[in-house]
Amino acid sequence: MTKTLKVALAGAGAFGLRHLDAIKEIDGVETISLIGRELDKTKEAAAKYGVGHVTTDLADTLKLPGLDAVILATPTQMHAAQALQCLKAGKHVQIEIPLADSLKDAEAVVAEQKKTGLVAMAGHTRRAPAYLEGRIPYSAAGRADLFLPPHQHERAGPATLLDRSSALASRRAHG
Amino acid sequence: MDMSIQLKAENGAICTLSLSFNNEGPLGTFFRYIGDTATYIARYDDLYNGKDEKIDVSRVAVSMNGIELQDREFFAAIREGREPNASVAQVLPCYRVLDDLDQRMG
Repeated sequence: MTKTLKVALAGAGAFGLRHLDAIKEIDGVETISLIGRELDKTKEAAAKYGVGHVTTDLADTLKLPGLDAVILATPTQMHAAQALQCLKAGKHVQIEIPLADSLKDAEAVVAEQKKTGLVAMAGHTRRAPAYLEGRIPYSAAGRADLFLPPHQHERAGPATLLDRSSALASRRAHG
Repeated sequence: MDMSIQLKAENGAICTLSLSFNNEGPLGTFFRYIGDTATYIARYDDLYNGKDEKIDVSRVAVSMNGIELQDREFFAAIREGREPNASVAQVLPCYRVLDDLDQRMG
């Protein structure tokens, strides 16, 4: 049995809870801390999912012994700064979309990832799965990997819409 | 607000993105992808062809939940000490395009 990965989730909103639901389905991973803006609501969610540690400050979580990784499902404007905070603390990090609200901040996260060699991943959902691994024929895969994360549909707004178009362009450019 | 963006990829392929907030119904309930050989419609995690026939994607991956797949990829990359799909370095071009668009729109 491989070592259990210990993960923390920042952002106990509707989307964060979808990550908690997902992690429950994955063997060998344990959510050990939940970070939220409102302590009461965060405690409630932590109790429901059996998460032992609750805080409103990411820095508290980063001090927990044995913590391997953090998933950030926080408001957009916090993403880049929190991603840097996690990497600097030596933790792997997954950042929900968008990675940052400016190119400069996105570049800063990439630079820190390169410096640390840790895993830093953006929540571009449709880039993650098997479509990219040739498990379905190209005729379908060539289109399938353009599909947008379903949760993006729930966050309509010019910035995220632009993100969709650019994600698509990126796939085309590199496909 | 309606928006249309045209992009030309490095291989010459033209992509047109059209968005309308005048559409009746909930925002972002589906996306239609019109390709040179086929049309696909994505409704959340479900996929249909242009004739609205459902395409079975149940065996494509271990789960039909996109978020779970995304998290599995993250944890697998950590365990295997490798770069994940959708690493921050891989998605940076998205943010370059966004920034470019933003500059042009002033």
